[in-house]
Amino acid sequence: MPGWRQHLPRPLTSAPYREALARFRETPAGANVFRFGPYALMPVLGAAAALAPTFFGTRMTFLIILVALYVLLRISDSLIGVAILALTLALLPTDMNSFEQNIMFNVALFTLLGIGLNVVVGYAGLLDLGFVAFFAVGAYLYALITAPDAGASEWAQTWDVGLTFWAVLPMALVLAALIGVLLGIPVLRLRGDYLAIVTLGFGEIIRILLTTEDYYTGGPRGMFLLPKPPFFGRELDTAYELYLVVLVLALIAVFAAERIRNSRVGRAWEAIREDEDVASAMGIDTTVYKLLAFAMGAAIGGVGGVVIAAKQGSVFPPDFSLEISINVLAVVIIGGMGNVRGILLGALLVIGLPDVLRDFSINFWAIHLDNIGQDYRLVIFGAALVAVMVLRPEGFLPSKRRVAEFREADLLQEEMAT
Amino acid sequence: MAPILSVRDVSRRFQGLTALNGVSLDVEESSIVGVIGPNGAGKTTLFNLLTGFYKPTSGEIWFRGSRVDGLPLHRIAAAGISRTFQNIRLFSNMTAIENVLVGQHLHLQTNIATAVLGLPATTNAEQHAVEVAVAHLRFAGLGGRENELARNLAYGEQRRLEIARAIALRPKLILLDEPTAGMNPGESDAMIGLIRRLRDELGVTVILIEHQMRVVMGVCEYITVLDHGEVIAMGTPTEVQNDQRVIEAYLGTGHLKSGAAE
Ligand SMILES: Nc1ncnc2c1ncn2[C@@H]1O[C@H](COP(=O)(O)OP(=O)(O)O)[C@@H](O)[C@H]1O
Ligand SMILES: [Mg+2]
Repeated sequence: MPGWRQHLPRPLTSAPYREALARFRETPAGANVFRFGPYALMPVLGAAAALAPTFFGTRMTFLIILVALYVLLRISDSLIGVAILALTLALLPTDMNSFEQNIMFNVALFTLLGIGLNVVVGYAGLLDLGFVAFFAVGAYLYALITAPDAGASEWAQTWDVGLTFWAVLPMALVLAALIGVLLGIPVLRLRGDYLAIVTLGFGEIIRILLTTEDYYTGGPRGMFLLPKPPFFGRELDTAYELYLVVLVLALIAVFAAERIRNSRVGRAWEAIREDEDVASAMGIDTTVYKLLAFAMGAAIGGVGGVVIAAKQGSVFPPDFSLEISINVLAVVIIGGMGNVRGILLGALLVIGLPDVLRDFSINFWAIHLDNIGQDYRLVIFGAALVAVMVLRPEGFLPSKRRVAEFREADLLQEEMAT
Repeated sequence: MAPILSVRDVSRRFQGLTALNGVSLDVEESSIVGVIGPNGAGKTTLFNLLTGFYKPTSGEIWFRGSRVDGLPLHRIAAAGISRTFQNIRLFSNMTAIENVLVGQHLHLQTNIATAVLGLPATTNAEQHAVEVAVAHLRFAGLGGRENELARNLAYGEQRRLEIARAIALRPKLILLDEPTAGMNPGESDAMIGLIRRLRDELGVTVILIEHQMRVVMGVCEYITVLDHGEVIAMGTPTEVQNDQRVIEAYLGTGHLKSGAAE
């Protein structure tokens, strides 16, 4: 099995480079570079990002951001690092046009969703392919109880509730969590592949219900004219402002997820992922803890749904297709399962990059391929995903343990081959 | 005094195979009891029944005055029974101390809300839990190995980590499934010492499955012999050693003799 893979070019993070880096880190100069490097990098990154659009255009800017972030995330662990990172992320899109800001909004939104799904998949080890269901719950809740005139929904027109964005956020959080628990009760007995298939079905059921229950949801005609979040007498209606809202929500989610992960609850999840029966024999009520993971993931998904409904100003059933679940899962896996910091990177790669590649063309000597980005971007993206999974199956910024697990799997394969 | 554990006429069948057949057994509080028998005799199955991994096909298991057979695993753990595994089952990608902290689960209170708030009370409780875990690791001879991933520990250390994790539950009864399997005589001696300290220092009742006769005879006060799923003898080490049926059961396996000679 190891055969053909050996002939692929070694990624910069492979063992020889890593060891060289580790040796460098042990020298006094190296230690300083590692300690202060991230902070020195920040102004450079900021300057590069500010100047890049003038010189390179969006695509290069984005790539620069990506590379700088990757380096930064790999070497910075501290709270200050996170603060600087958040500030940079908040200021970056000020220079962008609205198309680019929309891309950044999507990146931030999928970061938020990824943090939610990561609790379920990365922490508790439950493969959930129906995550979009909770996203839909949040979005439709927003549509139902905020809109003075919510399109085709008779229910909304009859009741005309008219709550604001900020009131709906916590309600969506609770409702999505409850629905997560309701879904969890029957399905959490299942393990592995079976759980994946049932959750996949659940995601589809929700989408179909949105289509058929048109008294409430407006069916395929959807709901629209949804209000924007009010903010001190005005409305947050630009992509950038809503991007900031998601960024703050994502930060809160990161903060909560990390704290929980490092607590008794996170350890219980991890134990369940490692060996469910033994975890149970340690006194962990595995059903309750799996439900908790489901509920927490769902809650974050619900919050994301509220934001997307407010951003779009409308909700339609096709907005909540399986593709969303798959994309969120890709964000989590590419970024590095179990690792919150990796998810931001995953979202930039999975959600941002394909859009940035839209206007990509090759004009080189006799070769003129205009708009190959537009026409083939999904092909390129798919190929890139496959490449990533082959070269770095543990994702770009995995938690240390994930690396260990994948090494173990590799060793097993090698043993079996010999 | 009533026994801490009482196994009453317990049987367990797997499809056609009867792994345990009408086993009865009483264990006195604060004793160290050995369960021996040839491979496939049903010893591990007995442990799996006691801890809830399997349900008995028939019979009852009473622990400290209440019936525990048929309870889910975590309820039995909460009742005060913990165990180790013949084929080591650590949380291998967690560190040694995290393994022990998982063992403390029942004795900690942090939930999602308090974890997110991170109030001083929660932080202090976590700090205390870590200190207790360090003490448990030291007790099992794993001082200084706290932050090592369980998978990277040496084999003997992994066996001891399983014990550290098991005592973190603060059990009344601890079940050790072949704790010295694969150990050299030096390591086995250290393990004997550790098993004694479980009872002497922590006051835990110990049931131990063991193949090395030297260990069994050295540490157990009372022995139950299983063969083909049935109890064929019970008694003190000397009584059991001289029991005709036991000698016959072991004939051909050579375990009793070679073990005793070690
Ligand atoms: N889950 C199971 N399914 C089927 N047979 C089992 C199972 N567990 C144990 N057995 C059988 O029960 C018998 C006793 O096994 P075990 O309790 O592991 O013996 P030992 O005394 O060596 O620990 C063996 O024949 C074994 O194959
Ligand atoms: Mg056994």
